[in-house]
Parts: sequence; structure tokens; C-alpha cells
Amino acid sequence: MSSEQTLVVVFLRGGADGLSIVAPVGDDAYHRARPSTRVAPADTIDLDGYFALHRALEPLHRHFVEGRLAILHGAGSADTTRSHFEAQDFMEHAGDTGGGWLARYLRARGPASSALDAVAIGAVQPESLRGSPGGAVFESIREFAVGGDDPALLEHLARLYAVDPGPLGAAATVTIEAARRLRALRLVDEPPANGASYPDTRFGRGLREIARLVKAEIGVTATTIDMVGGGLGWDTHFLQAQFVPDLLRELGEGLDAFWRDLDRHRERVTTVVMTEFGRRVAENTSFGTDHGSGSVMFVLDENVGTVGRRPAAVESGWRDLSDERLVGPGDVPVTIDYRNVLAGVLGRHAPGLDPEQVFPGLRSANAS
Amino acid sequence: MPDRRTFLREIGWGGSSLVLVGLAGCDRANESLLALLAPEPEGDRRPPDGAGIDAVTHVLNRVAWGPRPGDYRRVEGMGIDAFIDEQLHPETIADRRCELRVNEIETLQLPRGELYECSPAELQRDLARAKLLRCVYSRRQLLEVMADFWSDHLNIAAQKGECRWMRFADEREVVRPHALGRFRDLIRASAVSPAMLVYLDGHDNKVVHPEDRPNENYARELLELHTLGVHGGYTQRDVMEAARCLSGWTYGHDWRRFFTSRVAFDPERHDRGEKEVLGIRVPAGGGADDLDRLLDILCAHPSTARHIAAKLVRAFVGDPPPPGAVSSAAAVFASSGGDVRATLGHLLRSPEFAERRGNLFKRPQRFVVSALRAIDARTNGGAELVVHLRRMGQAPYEHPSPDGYPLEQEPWIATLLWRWNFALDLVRNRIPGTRVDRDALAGARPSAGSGWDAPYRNILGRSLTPLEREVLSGAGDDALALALAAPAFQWH
Repeated sequence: MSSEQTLVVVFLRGGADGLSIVAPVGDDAYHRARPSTRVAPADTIDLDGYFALHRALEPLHRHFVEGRLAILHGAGSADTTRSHFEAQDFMEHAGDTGGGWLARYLRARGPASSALDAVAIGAVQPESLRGSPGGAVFESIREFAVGGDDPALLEHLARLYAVDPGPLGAAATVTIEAARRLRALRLVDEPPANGASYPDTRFGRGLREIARLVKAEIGVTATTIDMVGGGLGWDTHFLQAQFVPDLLRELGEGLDAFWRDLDRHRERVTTVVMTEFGRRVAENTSFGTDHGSGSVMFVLDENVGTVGRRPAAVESGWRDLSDERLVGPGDVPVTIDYRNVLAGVLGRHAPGLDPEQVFPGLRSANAS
Repeated sequence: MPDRRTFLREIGWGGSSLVLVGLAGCDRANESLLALLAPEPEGDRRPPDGAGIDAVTHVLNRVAWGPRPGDYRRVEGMGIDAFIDEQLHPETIADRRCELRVNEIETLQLPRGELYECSPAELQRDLARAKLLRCVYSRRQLLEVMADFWSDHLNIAAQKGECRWMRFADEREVVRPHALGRFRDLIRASAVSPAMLVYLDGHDNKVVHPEDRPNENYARELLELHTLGVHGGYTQRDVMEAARCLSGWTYGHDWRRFFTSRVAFDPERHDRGEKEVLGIRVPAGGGADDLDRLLDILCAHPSTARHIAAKLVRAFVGDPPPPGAVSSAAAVFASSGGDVRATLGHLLRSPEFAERRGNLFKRPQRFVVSALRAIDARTNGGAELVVHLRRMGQAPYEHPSPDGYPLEQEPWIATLLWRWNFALDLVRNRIPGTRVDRDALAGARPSAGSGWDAPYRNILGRSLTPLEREVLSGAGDDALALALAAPAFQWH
């Protein structure tokens, strides 16, 4: 078996409500603050007497119990703007620096070995890959061909773009090489392993493409995929309780199908789920919640202990939602720096890597 | 029908009248009618032959969605300054050809309430179609550039609730009427637009009891995206105070009475207390007037002038925006009371604008529209065109969040594959509803003899580099597609 590792970063865009994903049902303050948006204990699966998993995430429960899903509650960044776009950029750049954290990670690992070092599922390059030496962007492997695979065309294009010294020339090189390398993969379309059934959504279909790339063992180091979700997405200012279950079902079913489909390749893959911020503890007058701070992060890894997380336990720096524990306008505090979670994963995927190369300033932040 | 010779003259062998390519059914009849109504002037001109993009092409690249055959000659004739002046006053430009075409889209005329009788998918398709047709065909090009700019600035994702219908009305009632007008009028119209009230929950921002926590969704985006900008100096407290000012606005659509669609202020849902926004007191009891007080504070704030100026400079001059251009545009914006036309007039005549050519990476929509214009393709702006834009990540009106499609170049750089495939499909006539004159294009083959590069010089606004000459001359039938796929055509 190949020893190459693949990191899968799932970003829940819109600010997912950690208090609905893993609800602190053992806390009276939670029920008081959320008369219409709380998750009732009956709609949850108990995890540790205080926290409970939303029942729509039931497919993930066994991964938690069997010690491969780490749940981090109170994860987030130091951003205080409560702006989606600012907070997403801040998280994906990992600070007020120019490029993305995944781009720095790829550079720190050494020269790009292939155009498919990084793959972003979607239409445009995410900020985490800004400045990346490689990185192809697509939604489906099948579509990734130029003009019906005409090699002469690729040759002409390669010549025209070869003289562009900037990012566009680099992007063209990546695109041409990726189209060539994906050619073989386009022709085979095996069904997912173990009867895995992905949600028929952009997210579900995208996860399936990632599984195909992993299984093909073509050297994909990092992949990104967004889950925007149907309906209103994660930005639940309005009628939150009505929309959350479907979002979580899509997320849970997608991740579980991905895990099943990976089959014997599971040992090589770590999946991280993150969001730009959580939501205010107290709900607003439209039965929704506004932008907050700490939220939930997941790490799904066969040996989650090797990425520095405790298996089968909800890690959180807080177990009390009373007013004096909240920050700002009434938010869950950020007790876990998301960078430390990612640094733990990178430590396993690239032993010897200095986290400072990817997350400048992390060491001093941890020391203070 | 003009013959092949006419078309060749048009795209490089000299100027000529508009080119008509046969389309099916009523479109053809309309085309003949249109041709009678608005013949374009005859004339000749030499294609650009400089090493860099010449000034006329430059202004067409930025003030318009790229040059169409005939545009170069016209702007050269009237002068760049006169062209900018004309474009700043779209009401003075006759645009019958485009209007006739767009008016075929019947939903465009429907009153708000009647839109609810249409399927959201139909409205979405018609709205995209209207945009693409106008971008390609309208003579009011700067208006279309600015409508696109504000449509992103005030983006509304059409999937949410009644936005599925009201997004349609927002475009014609908010964005287009104020595209070159006063910024405050634009923001005021947006604040009470049904689609915006629904999209950012303003319609449900209510304070009934003093301890109620109003929904702050719209208030935040109003400060962060629409006016001050995220680093504009406001605090979380300002967001919450603005939300209080905005509480009480509602939007109602009465399903029992199909044609009723109403924005109203409900004093029972409004926070009557005193507020303070950005250090300025909004006295208690202002009621509906709180909205205007708030917008006065926000729109006159220096951060707003800088934020809007920076975005305009990014769109028209360079990315990152040159600081000098931002300061001077912000000064004009502030001194003119937020006059978009005046600010643009200043910007388009600034040395920073004139100097920076070919340095902006085309967003997918600009790439597609400029390609259609460059080779005078005929299009119905239909769904098949949108499929291509969707693959490139910029289908009209499909951006999922309130920030609009990014103006920065980086996110778009990874879209090359789909641009190349679009160019190939376009030139090979594989996009249903969009046609190019293949016979005429055959003449742009390098084998056509000396001067074969003229159409390419028109497309790029400069002479070809030795490499471009070499590659294109060896590409046979694909030469034109490769010109559109080449790096040079990705910039404007």
C-alpha cells in the first residue's frame, strides 16, 4: 500500500452553529437561551452527559464511539469582525498573511511533485490554496478534459502559456498536466466501495470524486471541499431549527459514505471539518441566531490519537454556558485554536514539519 | 444577409456594417427588422499594430465589455473623451436594437406581484438572459458594466424564500435605475427592496419587547459590505445599534390576492429607544425615519467613500488598487455627495486609468462576453451559455453569499480549463443558441495569406508576438479558438 497521506478539508461556509451540531443539552442555560432553536434532548444522542450529538448526525456516532472521530467544541480563530468573509479569509490564510495555509503546507513539503498535489472541489480556488505551487480545481473528474482530449491543442496551449511568468502560466501548467494525468481516471467509473451511498448534492458528489482520487494513488496531498448546503445554508439567522436537520443529515451521510467508500485506503486519509465561526448563544427574534465565535470542529482519522486528539471524548475548554462564561455580545468562547488542531494533523502527514512554516506566530500564541 | 466578405471586413479586413448570422424562427425576422432600424455606419480602419494595447482598445476593454467589430472605428472617430462622456450618460444613447431584443423577454415587464405567477427557474433564466444580451449588445456599455458591479455589491442569492421571485425585481428597481446615480439613493432603494428585506432578514428584524434581540443580519452586511467596509471603523455595538434603527420594516405578499406585494414599516415592531451609531446619536421616537438617519450617517462616512472608491478602482484600474487613485476617487465621491457618475468620470480620465492597460484578469463573465463581442457571435443569452459560465464559477445571479463574485483575480485563475473549452465550443459552433459565422471565420485561417493576423490584432488590441504568430499559424481551424484561449485574451 502506498504511504502517501491525503488531507481532506471540509469547510462549512456560513458560520455553522456548534450548539446545534453537538448540543450542550446538559446545560440549563442552553435551553433558556434557545427557546426555539435548541435541540431537544430527545433529538440527540448522548456523548458524555453534557454534550450530545444531533440525531441527524447519527451516521457519525459510531465513528466517535469507535475512536476515530474527534469532536472539538469551542474551536475557532482570533478573528473578531464576525464577518463571514473576513473570518473565512483569516482562517484560510491563517492570519493576516498573504497566502493560504494549505499553500504554505505544500511549499513546506518541498517542490510540487505533481499538478494534483492539491485538488479543490468546486469552481474557484479557495483562499487556503492561495499562492499554492500546484492545485487543480474541478467538480468532476469526468469533465476535466480540454477539447475532447486533443493532444495537439494541449501542446499549442502549453506553448502559449509557457511564456507567462506569473500565476497564470503556473495555473496553465497545472491544468494541462492535470488533464493529462486524469485521462486514465476519467475512463473508469467504478461504483463506490462497500455500498457507500453519497447524498446527491454538490457536497456528496464532490466527496465521491475525492475518494476516487485517493484510491487512484496519484499523489494527492490535500483536497478541499465546501459544504454550502441547500436552503439557507449554515448562516441560520432565521428559522434555524427548520433548516439545521437537513444540513446535518447531508454532512453526516456524506462523511460516512466517504469513509465507507475509502475502504482499505482509510489509513491514509484525515478529514477535518471546520467553519469560520459559531453563532450567538441567545437566539434573536426571528427564531435564528446571529454571528458568534467558538464552534465545532471534527477530525475523522482511523487513529485520531496520532493527530494529537483524544478519541471518544468531546474536547472543549468550556462546560458552562452561563452568562459570565460567554464572550463579546454573548458568544461561546474560542478555547481551542483551530490552528493547533490542523498542526496536529500535519504533524502526522509530514513528520518533521515545523508548524511555524504553515502557521506563523502559532508558537508565540500558544506560549501567551 | 450580408455575405462572407462583409464579415471579413468587419473582423479585420476593414470596417463594415453589422453582421447577421442566420438564426432560427422569429429571431431571424427580428434581426432583419433590426438591421433596417439601425444600420451601422460604413468605413474602414487599420487594425491595431502596436506592441502594447492601444488607447482605444483599452477604453473599450474597461468602459465596455470589450470591443465589438465597428466599436474601434467609432471610438477612434469620436475621440476617447467623447466616448467616455457618452457612456456616462446612457440616457442619451439610442439602444433600440438591444431593447427590442431584451423586450422579447416578457417577464421583464411584469409587476412585482405578478412575478409570483412565474416559476423561479424561469425568472432566473430570464434575468441571466437579459443580463447577457445587454452586456453583449447594448450600446450603453458602461451602464451594463456598472449594473453588474452593483449587482455584485448588493448581491442577493436567489435561492432564499421569496428572493426566488423578488431578486428579479431588485435588478430593475434598485440596481439599474441607480447604477450611475447617487450612491445614497441606491442604498436607500436596496434597504427597502423586497428581495433584500427577505435575503438578509430585514423583514423579520423586530423589537416588540425592550429586551428583544433584533436580527442583525442586514445591519451587519449594510455596514460591512454595502457602506463602510469591514475595516471601516465600526464595532459590534454599531452593528447592534444599526439593527435597532432598522427594526420594524416588513415585506408582505398576500397569496390570496395575487398582485399584492408590499413593503411597509410597522411601528409596533420598531425599537423606539435612542440609538447611537458611529458616535452619532439617533434620537428616540424617530420611527421609520431612523432608516434615513442611519443611511445619512453611513453614506456620508469617509470610510464609505474609501470603500466604494477602492472597489471601483479595483474594477476599472488595477488590483491591488493603486492608493493614489483610491484617494482621489474617494475625494470626488465625498465632495460630490456620493455621485457615482462624477466619481467614474474622474476615474476614467485619471492618469492611473490611462497608464494601466491589460493588467486586470477577466472574470469569467467578462471573458465570455468579450469573446462573443470580439468575434461578433450571435447569441440568445440562453441556458447553454450559462452552463459554461457556471463551470467557470460565475453564472449570473448565482453567487451564494452577500459579498458578490470576487473582484480579485486570484480565485479565478484556476478556471482556465473551462475558458479553453468555451473558446473551442464557441468557435466550433457547439453552443446551442449561440452561433458564429464559420464560413467567415474560415477566412481568419493563417493559410489565408498575408494580413491573416488582422482579426487577431483586433481581438488583442495589439500586434501579435512572434510566439503567438507561430502557434496560431500552425493551428489550422483552431487558430481563432486558441486566440480566445490564449493568455493575452484573459486580461483586459
